[in-house]
Amino acid sequence: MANILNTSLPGETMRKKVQNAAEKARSEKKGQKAKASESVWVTGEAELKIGFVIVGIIVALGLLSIFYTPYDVYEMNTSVRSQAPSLAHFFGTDNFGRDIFSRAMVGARFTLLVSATTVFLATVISIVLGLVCGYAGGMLDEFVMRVVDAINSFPSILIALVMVSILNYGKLTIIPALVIMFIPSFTRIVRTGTLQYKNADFVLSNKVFGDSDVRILFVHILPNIYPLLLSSIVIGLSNAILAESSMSYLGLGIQPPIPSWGRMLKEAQDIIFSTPWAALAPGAMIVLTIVGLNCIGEGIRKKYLS
Amino acid sequence: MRYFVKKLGIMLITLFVISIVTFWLFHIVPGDPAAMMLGTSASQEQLDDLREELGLDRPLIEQYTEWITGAVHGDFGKSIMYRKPVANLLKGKLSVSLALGAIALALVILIGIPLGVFTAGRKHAISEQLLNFVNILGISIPGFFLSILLIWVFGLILHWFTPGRFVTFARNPVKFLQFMIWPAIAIAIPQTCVLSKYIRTAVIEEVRSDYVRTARSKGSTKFRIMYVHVLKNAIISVVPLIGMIVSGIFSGSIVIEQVFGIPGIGRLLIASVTSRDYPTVQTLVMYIAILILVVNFIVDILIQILDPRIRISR
Repeated sequence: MANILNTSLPGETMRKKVQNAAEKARSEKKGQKAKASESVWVTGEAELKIGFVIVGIIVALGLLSIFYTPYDVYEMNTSVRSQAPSLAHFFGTDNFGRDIFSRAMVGARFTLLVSATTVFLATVISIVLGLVCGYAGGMLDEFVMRVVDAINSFPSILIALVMVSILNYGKLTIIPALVIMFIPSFTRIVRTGTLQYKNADFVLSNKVFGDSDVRILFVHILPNIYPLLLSSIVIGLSNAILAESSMSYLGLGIQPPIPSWGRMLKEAQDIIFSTPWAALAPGAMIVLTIVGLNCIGEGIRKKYLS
Repeated sequence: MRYFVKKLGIMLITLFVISIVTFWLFHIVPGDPAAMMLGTSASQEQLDDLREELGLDRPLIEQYTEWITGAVHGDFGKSIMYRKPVANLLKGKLSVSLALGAIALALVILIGIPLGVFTAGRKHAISEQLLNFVNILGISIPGFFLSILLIWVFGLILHWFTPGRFVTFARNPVKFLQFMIWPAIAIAIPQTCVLSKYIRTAVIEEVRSDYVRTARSKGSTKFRIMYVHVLKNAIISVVPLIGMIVSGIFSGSIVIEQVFGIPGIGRLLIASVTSRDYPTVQTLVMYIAILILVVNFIVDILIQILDPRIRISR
């Protein structure tokens, strides 16, 4: 609410004042809430903290894997085949004697890289599409939204499968295939936001002062959409990880020999009775990452949007 | 009635557009189907012959009209991988996938709705945090990982079913269900979490309305208020979600059929994507598109019938 209020005032100082007042009111309210034993769960603080800790650890493991892994990721060591988790091998070893913890670390790096790239590209494309459609309206808007709706009603994995099958697959085919999946929902959010602010007073006044359409879109309208977009981006990231690992599980995602969580699960599936840790470790990594991201998304939604 | 015709018209137009896009997408891809069917050792003459046979030498529009007229009559062309008409490949597979989807949808509705109502009644209990957490966990577990866990625990350790041994319905209905319930559970869990969360929000919203107070002051029991008055309105508000849930079930079953080794269209789809069998992929995409569109159409009509408020405002 405070956002709409202060951005609709043209004067910069006035804006600051209102913002400060709003902030103050908000923090006071928060203080009262905490006293009234309403837990941190209501404000979304707890979710944010839990989420950041989980995602932080996994990102750190992924980054660390660039410089250091406890064992070689590809080396097969027959003397330590199918060993249960121990101090030497945190997550145990698989049936080829490869260290699962090291592979999970490298898997984290590639899964996160692919998902982040995907969501980043989808966001950039969607921002342009959504802003232009919302601002221009008319036939273009109608057409793009019809296409977006059509794509949206399809099972997401089907879109990715179709894209993978028509693009020549190489190591990175998975990225454009997944980008298509995310454009519709992001575009819709940006467009709705644009429509909301298109005729706001601060936009109209800037128009009167002769700002170009591009400047109005990117400098004046876009910043107001960020909070709304942010929680969708985080949720999108968790969906991207889910989709990437599903595709890798099916053998259509990140290509061998690069380890990925999805394919580690595929390889471990047949030996799950004898070496369950080989499947549980990458599975747990996927679930943890997605839980972490969903917590952050939920936290942002509760804190900034309600 | 006018609404019905209008929606039907929109559905047919959408279907037409999807068929054009799908056809076009699979014909701009690099690679020659004829060359793929014959392999690298084929002579130029053989290639030309096959191209002519498949109609690849004619203009795109002509190919499209032929494909679509064939499709309407149930002829979808020939699979490159199996060298058989696609229609034959689909036989039996479609019903398996539909059965799986139906079981999953039944589970989602039968568990999701009561769960949503039940949890809505416990707004301020400490259990809400726990519930919230279970919900996040439920939507966070990838279907294939859940399936692997189910196979491991219930199949290999507890021996409640035999993993990998699919039994057709015709041969043994009981065994069929015994097997299919597990992939259906794996598909249903994330969707159940989504549905129950929406139902919960809708119920909490409805409980605040005047008619609930009236019912309560008349002396209706809490159970009656919840399950007769509130639920009816809450369900109406989530009917539009059914389209999304069905689409989610399809997404789930494409992957999960693979994990459990169920011979459905999901498995055929993955196999044909991997081997670049375009006619088959194209047909499957059309099939799924039709299913999704029909479901959305039914949902639209259902909302009209269920909610008089929308009918009047029109």
